[in-house]
Amino acid sequence: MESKPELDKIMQDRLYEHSIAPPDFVWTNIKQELRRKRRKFVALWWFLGIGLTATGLWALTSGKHAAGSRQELSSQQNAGTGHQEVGTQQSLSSQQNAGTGHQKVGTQQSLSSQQNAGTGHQEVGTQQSLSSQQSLGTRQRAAGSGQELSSQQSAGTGNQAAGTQQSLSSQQNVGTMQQAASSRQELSSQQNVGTMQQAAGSRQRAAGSGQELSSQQNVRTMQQAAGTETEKTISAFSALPPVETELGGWKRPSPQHPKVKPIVRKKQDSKNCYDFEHMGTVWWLDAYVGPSITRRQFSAKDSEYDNYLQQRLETERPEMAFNAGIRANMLFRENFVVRSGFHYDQFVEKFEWADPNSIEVNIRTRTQLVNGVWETVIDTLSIEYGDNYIKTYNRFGVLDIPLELGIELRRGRTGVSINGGVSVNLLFWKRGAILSPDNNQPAYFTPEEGTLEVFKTNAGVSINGSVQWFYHIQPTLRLFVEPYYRQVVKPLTLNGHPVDQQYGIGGLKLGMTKILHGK
Amino acid sequence: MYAVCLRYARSSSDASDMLQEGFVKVFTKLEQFHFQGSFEGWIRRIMINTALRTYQRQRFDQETTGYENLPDMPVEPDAISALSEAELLKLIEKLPDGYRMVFNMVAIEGFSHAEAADLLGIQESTSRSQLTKARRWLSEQVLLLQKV
Repeated sequence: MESKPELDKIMQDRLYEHSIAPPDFVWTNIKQELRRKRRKFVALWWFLGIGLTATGLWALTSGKHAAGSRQELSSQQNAGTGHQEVGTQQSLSSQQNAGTGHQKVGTQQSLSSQQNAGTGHQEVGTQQSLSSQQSLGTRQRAAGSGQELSSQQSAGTGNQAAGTQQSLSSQQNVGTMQQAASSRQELSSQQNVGTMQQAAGSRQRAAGSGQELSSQQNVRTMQQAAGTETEKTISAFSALPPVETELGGWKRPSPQHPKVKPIVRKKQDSKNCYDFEHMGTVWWLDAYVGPSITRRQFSAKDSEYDNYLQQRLETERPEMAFNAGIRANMLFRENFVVRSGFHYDQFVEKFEWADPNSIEVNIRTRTQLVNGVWETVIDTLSIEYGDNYIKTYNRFGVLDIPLELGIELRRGRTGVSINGGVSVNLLFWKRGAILSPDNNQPAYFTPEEGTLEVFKTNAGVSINGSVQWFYHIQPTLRLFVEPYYRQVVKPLTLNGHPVDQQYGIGGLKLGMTKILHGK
Repeated sequence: MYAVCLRYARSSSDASDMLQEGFVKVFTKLEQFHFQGSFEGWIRRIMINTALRTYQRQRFDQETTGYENLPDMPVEPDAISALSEAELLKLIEKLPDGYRMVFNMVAIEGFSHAEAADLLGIQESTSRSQLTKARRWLSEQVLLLQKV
């Protein structure tokens, strides 16, 4: 039918490039949403830093350094001065694309954000939204020459000066938005949505191959260029003719030009990522196991027990340890996680003691008739000089219920989660032997079997911290590696024991996560 | 891009929501633009994907307009040219969701039937039939407007 292709052509010609200014509230909502995301992002990093710093300080004060990864994370945060700056830098750096041209843009952006650091979230958000506004339209940069490409296009003429040095007025920025990387373009910071549409809808002519226009402007340059900042709808866009792009890619199919296939989004990565963004609250289960190592702290309650303490240190040595557990996790607000479950730590210590001063004498007593009188005679059969030697493997097991809060950051199939919290001990069992404080001789402390009461029946509360790296092998299945450290708050030995024995346990959780259906 | 969203949405409020969601994605995923094509095209694709996601749960292949059995009525180009863009958008907005999606993607954006079917999760034959029905419906509407 003749009318069918004709209908398509007419619709295409009339509507493909057609633009309409959206309601003002749309742009306001976009800015608010971007600010909200920015605030959340910055808040996440603050929460992360505070949690890690607290855990690290606790470990440091107990004599152990924080893990290297924690140091890096905390050092990335300019506590007290520029969390906004960090957020801005990160957001800006995240907007930097690969390629030489964008490095300069990114630098400019980070510099501008540093200059404006400390003035408040809104400014950061504003910068972000403003720079985002400017990012519409093509990105072109005059390579190396410092040329400024004018973006002034008067209504109705559609003229675009290329290569000339003209200041840019954002209110007139109806066509290309271009900025020489080596020069400081000044664009007004306030562009309405109509302007964005114009920038997005126009075609731009590349001055040469490989040119990029950076459309991210800092607030200061935008304000200076604009002079007065006013928001008004630019209605002249519709009078501008479309500009052919030489960058290739998506061209408007028309009878005069061959159709160009649109960019097909690759779906491979998204198939292996769970859609956390749209699923609301998400639940999942963890199971893990892994090696651990203990860190003991001995302290004598009185100086008269220093010798005993020294002998304890010489006769007891940590051996292997491991951890295992299962957890239930709840993700809310896309990035926050609450975890609980059961965690088990078991560690072994070798007790080895030898007394080189021991002597064993074998004697025999008999009676014999001497001069008609019965007498008792003692014969020494043998004298042995040897070791009184004992070796045992002391075992300790603690079963706890952890309660942790974490922040999860994801990118594609991988992500990281920072967690911190407390654990409450359910079960503390132990068996083995140590030197008795009464006589410095080995004595068993195993309940129901031993004679020595050394340890408490409950390990009490512990403070935990961990960092998890995970990888999605399927949308609902993850593998993770999670170094952790927990510090038992109070000593495990009884108050009456002359030595306080306190433990910290660090280890690696190797596990799998199964994501249940979110809602 | 608002006009693009208006073509895909059922109403202007839906279009505003799509535009908002689309631009938030543009700003937050700016680093994913690797200069494989024009920037406008990238933004347009994001808007289209946002529109598709909005209506992805709905099934389009069961929609009917009542005009399926009418003979094809050729429409004079002048009749369409006499309509303003706003009126054309209104016509498209009135199309059932499935017809509207296919018409936008194939007739206006330039997708092939295979590509549109893949994105919409339908058969290619369904895409072709939806487009035919959309054309018929639009032709009928244009003729009705002419009579008025």
